[in-house]
Amino acid sequence: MNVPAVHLQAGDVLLDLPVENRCQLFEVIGRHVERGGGPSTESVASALLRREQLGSTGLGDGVAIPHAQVRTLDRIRVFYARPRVPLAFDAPDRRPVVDIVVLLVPHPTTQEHLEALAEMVSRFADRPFREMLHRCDTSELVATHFRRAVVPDVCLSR
Amino acid sequence: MNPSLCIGIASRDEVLEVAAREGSGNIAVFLLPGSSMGIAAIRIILADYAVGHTRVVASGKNAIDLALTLGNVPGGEAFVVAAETGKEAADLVRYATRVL
Repeated sequence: MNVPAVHLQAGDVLLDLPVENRCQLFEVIGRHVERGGGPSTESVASALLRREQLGSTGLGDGVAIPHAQVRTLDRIRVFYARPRVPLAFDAPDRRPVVDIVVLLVPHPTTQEHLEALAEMVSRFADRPFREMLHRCDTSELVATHFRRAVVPDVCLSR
Repeated sequence: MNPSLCIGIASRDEVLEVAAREGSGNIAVFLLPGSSMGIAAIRIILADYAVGHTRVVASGKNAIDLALTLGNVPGGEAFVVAAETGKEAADLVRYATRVL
């Protein structure tokens, strides 16, 4: 049985977000992180925005995986966000985004970071996973779905 | 010119075995789905290094398509190599660092 690279906590699931664009989304994520005792809203939001300016983190099929390096973190943090209305994200297929996984990492391009990214991509590449996820209408159900779904095999060294 | 990020891709039927080596020399190896979403994920990783020079080396199924798609990024270059060069993605990264 594969071990997940990152664990999504129910408290880090943000549903029905009243945001209209990526800037507003990143502000909400930043506020959430700061409220939880993490880095400041501004540092998180600006890091996510700077990364997005290098190229969209949209994956297609309504999924995006914005991420950024936040040096003051001591571990990878993962959040799931679902906007109230689909967001334009400049994804490769031009479709707006409904599933957003945010990764904040202390160091980029480590095995841990890339495994976390690969795991999320592999989960969301699975259409039944996405369809079931869209039926989860509370944070607890979303977190439980992530926990119970089969963890994709993304690591060769485990 | 040494790339700031070097990615090797061993492409198989439904999976992309990917190895990434950045400046420190460590090689991270992971699997991605062999679909448009997997390719988009590699583009995202390359964009993380958009300020630097990136190199992609691909072998196996659809390697030419992968190279054409992923080589088309600013500061990026892509190579297709024979599968005999390395069966594993980490071998491709080492080859790209040493030979290309």
